[in-house]
Amino acid sequence: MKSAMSFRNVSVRYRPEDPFILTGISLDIAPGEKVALLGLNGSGKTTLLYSAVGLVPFDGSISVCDVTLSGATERSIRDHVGFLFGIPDDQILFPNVLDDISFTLERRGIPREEARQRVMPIMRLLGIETLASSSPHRLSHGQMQRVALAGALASNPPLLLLDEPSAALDPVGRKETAGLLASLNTAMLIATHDVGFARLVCNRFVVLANGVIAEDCSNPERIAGYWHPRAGNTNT
Amino acid sequence: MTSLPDLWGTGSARMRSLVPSARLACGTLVFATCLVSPVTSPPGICIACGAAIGWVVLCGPPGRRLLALSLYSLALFLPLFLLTPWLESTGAVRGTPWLDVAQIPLAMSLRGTACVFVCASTIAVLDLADFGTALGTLPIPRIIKHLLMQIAHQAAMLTNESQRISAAVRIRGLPAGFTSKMKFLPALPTIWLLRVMNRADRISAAMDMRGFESFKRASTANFSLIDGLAVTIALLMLGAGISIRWLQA
Repeated sequence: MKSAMSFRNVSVRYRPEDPFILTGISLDIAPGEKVALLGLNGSGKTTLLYSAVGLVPFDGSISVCDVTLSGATERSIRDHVGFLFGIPDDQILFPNVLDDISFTLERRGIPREEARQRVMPIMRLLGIETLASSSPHRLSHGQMQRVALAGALASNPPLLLLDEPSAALDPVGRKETAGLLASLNTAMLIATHDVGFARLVCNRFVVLANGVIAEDCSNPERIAGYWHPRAGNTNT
Repeated sequence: MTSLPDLWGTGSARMRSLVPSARLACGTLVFATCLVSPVTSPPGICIACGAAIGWVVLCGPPGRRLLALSLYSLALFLPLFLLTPWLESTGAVRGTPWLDVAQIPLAMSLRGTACVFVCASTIAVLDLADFGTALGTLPIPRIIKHLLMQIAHQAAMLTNESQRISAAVRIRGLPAGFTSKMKFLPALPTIWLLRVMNRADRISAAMDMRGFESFKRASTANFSLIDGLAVTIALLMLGAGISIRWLQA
């Protein structure tokens, strides 16, 4: 695998009559590379993640694990990606935590009991093994975030696309999650405005501003200037 | 306990020892019995009420919830009796035409109340995880299973969301004055509906992403003798209800 993910001149708008949200994005992510996608609210971070798996229409070319994204390849590409949505309870589809996490493996043909056994280590790492038989609608936002992340990690995908993985986590959970993600030998694109979290996990920082890539560097100090003073949330 | 989804799995009775699919099958059959039994005749009333009361006793939902359901049924069905002055007597009950016309709303109320109690009791002996397991093992089309499971699961999530909206409205307060309040209230369903529509979009994207449509869970039905017996009794009750209806026709 030459590239975990590649964007070539990608532009995105939701409807033809709307202005472009992202314009001419070109970005390569190598296997195992951890990239933080930074930007202020509304800068297009989530839209870029959605376009990577064909959830929004786009112009240009996107490939994942050397397979070009199209209608025909969409399903197989999605099977190679672990995706964490910005609102975690949207992606929890089962009335039981363990069922939901093991679903990721079950739909790949692994028998139910084996799938349930195989997801236990990742649940332990994320500190949610005691929630295995809980109903998701009784969990806190932070707990749901961990359950959704466990579902994304369960199949050990070659690429992770994570939308605000540190949101709603307590300081301990944030540090543990950062440690876990940093220890994985998986390519990842993490959309966040939590620079502190990004520094713990990533070795490359891409800043989106006004729909284009404004900065692409490995030095987190260089990106501080892109934070508007009024925001005051650099979290460094 | 503030909402219907909170009732899931709160039953304390012996029915919980049956496998989830047997509990769901029995509940469905008792519900069908209440629906088909002719509640305009004493045998039909006996079958419908007997099945419903028996099921409630066997499932053991919390007493406070039963009281709340009774009030809910009264509020729902009592207004039907206001229609009696406009209903025409069929002459079935001689000498008391008011009783004759009251039979129609009475039958609707009886059947409706029985169905509400049966549904609530079935929910009480299944938690959401049991419900998913039960659906997985019953011989029904996969698309129906997925649909029912998502309805139950998302209803619980939406109830939580509605409670959050309600809490926010309570904390932030409605505008002062009766007229302002009345102007504000119609906006609430819009707020809720927009949230539900946005949420439906996001869930659809997540289902696509996670490959939910192609998922098929292997069924593992392990009916014991007692499970089979319970389902057979429920089937016999349904058969009795259908027979009485057929005999009366």
